[in-house]
Amino acid sequence: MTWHVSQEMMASYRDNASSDAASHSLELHLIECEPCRRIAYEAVDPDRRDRIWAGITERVDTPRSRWIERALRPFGVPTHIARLIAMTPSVQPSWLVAVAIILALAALAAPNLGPIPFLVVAPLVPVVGVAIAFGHPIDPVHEIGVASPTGGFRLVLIRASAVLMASIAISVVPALFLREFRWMVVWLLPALACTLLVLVISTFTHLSTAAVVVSLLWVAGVTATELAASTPVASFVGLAQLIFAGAVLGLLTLLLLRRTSFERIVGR
Amino acid sequence: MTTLSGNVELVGVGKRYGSVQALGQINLTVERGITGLLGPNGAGKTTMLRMMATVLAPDTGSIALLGRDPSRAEDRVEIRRRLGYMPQEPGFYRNFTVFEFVDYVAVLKQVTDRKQRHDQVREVLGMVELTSVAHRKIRTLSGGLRRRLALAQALLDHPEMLLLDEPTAGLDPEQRLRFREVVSQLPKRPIVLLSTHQTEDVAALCERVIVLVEGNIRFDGTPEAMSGIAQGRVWIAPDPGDDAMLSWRTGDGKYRHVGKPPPHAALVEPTIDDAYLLLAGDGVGISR
Amino acid sequence: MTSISSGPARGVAVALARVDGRHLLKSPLFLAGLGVAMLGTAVFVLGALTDDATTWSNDAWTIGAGFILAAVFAMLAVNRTSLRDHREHTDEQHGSLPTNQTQRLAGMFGAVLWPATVSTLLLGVVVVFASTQVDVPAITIVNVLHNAALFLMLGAVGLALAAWVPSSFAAPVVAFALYFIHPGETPAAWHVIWPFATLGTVGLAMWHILYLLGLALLLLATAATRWERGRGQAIVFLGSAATVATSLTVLINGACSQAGPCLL
Repeated sequence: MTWHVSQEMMASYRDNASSDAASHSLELHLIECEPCRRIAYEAVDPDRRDRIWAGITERVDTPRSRWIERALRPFGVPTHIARLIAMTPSVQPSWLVAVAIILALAALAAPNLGPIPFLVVAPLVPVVGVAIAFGHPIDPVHEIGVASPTGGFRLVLIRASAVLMASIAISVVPALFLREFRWMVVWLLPALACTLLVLVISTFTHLSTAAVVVSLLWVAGVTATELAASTPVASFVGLAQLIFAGAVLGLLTLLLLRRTSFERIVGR
Repeated sequence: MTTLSGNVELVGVGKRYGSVQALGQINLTVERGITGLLGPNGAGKTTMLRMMATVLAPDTGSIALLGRDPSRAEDRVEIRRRLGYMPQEPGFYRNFTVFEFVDYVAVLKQVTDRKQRHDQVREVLGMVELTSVAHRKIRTLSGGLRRRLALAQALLDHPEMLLLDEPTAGLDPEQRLRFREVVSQLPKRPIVLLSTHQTEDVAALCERVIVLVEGNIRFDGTPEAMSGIAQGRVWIAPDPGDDAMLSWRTGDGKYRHVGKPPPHAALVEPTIDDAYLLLAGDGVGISR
Repeated sequence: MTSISSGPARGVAVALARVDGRHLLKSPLFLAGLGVAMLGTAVFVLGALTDDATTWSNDAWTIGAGFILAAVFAMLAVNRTSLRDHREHTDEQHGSLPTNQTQRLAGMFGAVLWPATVSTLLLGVVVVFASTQVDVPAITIVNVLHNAALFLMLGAVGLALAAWVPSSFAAPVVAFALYFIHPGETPAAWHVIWPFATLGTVGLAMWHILYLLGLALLLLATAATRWERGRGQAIVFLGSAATVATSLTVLINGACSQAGPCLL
């Protein structure tokens, strides 16, 4: 190699004063020439070197952000909360795909079977999602999570909201295939009520038990109402929506009253 | 079931994971008796054990287990009937009880007769002292009990080759002594390969020690010969030394040094730990 | 004590079938399915005891629906049991054992016989009881056998899913799909493909049972190809495919000869 970097060239590069062509040649040369790299190293003052190096290390070490985190950031969600949400087990592809398929089938069957199958299944999606998101057989970090400052009630709220949002998002597209507009929205309040109910019951017993209980109650309740009522789909329209709204408020209050029980692990 | 004759023989065995050479050209013969496998994390101990357990095939070289060739399907089944394997991170059916799980493994080991199988299960549970929890669900067991369970399932049906990967991790001192008792009293003197970090277990139990570092054998001999490597290189001094390879403050206030002695140092009898430090940290390969 | 093992490979599958069969009977999913079957039965029995106008042909559909759901629950239970090694990460540990995956598959299918037998016996008892209250046509005996075949076929579905789609969510999706995908109300010949179809004549019903058994073996052979491809599998595959094809032909022809549009 006959051409090497001179001190003046290095100084002007460091001070951002060299032309593009000169900078380019210098950079290419540095890749191959060790003595010149040493010159470059000496030419930059130590503080700036450390800052550059720290920036590189930070960039390399930062865990890759998942697409969910990137999607949430424009909505003003802070990065650490977005990460908690992204790490929720039930915001995982296989679960979402399974739910999407089931709801699509229910929606496609609506012309033959009516909207009831969809309306019954859609509120149960966040219930099962919440059961999968917590609870220690599924979540390997459960115990560490409960012992941490963010663990307990706050984590439960963050994750439950994440599950609810994800479930609603997944359910919206198949819902569009239900023919009437009202079918696309009447399941929202029941979904919220069922989710709150499973959280409240989970303060008394194991989460998976709570999920099973809520699912059975929901299916039995809808079945009984449909059999007893004179108008079809009575469990979702008119008075029923008011009842669900009342249930949501009541359950929310109950959940806030029972929030301290999330600071411990329920059962083993 | 007829006993298979033969040892474990590895000839030129190598294994690569991507760009990492986990094992490089290992030549080894293991005979009946207890052999200890020491080495730092990532040295290739688990890879070697997995190959002997017939769950992993080598990239290069050949293996003979109990005189059979594990790359052939029929031989593999015969080897597996006489094999007991306790992996480093054992898995369980957590909703099963202890008895049910060991019974299930016994079925998979082809012990088809129910009465004989249940007798076997009771026997191995007795050997590891799990009889009192035999009907508890595995998810209610602590880590130490689960490790004993993993050992129990490996001991089923009196294997001729027993592969134990970190068997005493997480066990309290009493359980570790009990483990030594169980392993040293196994009937029919099987081939036992014990991969561990606990040098005391090796010193107490093993007739032979193999030190594996970065995929290569650095030492192969008796525990006494291994301690002998550190002869003349272990010191006690009142002050910490900067020149030693490793130096630490012992309970009585003095400093133990391995390597170059500081001033006012007195020579002491080395242990296996010291030799291991020299082998694993030094880069010098020594064999019997 | 001397070592005793090395029963022949067949013996292992039988031993596994016994152990896993008992587990299946105790599994919450299967018990829930039986509960649903009993619910359907209770609805009919209540109706039969209180209302004289209850007839088998009009009202017994609740029993049928209940037991079909029990079969679907059993499929979920079988699938969950088969995915045990996947869930508990014991695949490699059990890979060092002499029993291979094909033997374990055969054992699991044998295990399905246990819930199939229990539910079929239960259905038989229900039918016998119902016959004391209402007139039950003779073909119902064949329907009881059909229930057993359905359990075996759905069990094979559970096993095939576990082999090829090792996710805990796959079987529930299929269970929902079975509910939502209907052949529809207007009768047509190809509806005989539907496993839950009920057929009017004893002959056709027996062929449908054969069809279900053929499907079960076909699914088993498909599951087994996940781990090995040998001559044994090929024979089972071809044999079951032939059984399915033959029985379908007979069924479609038979359905065609009765009233209604054919093939579509």
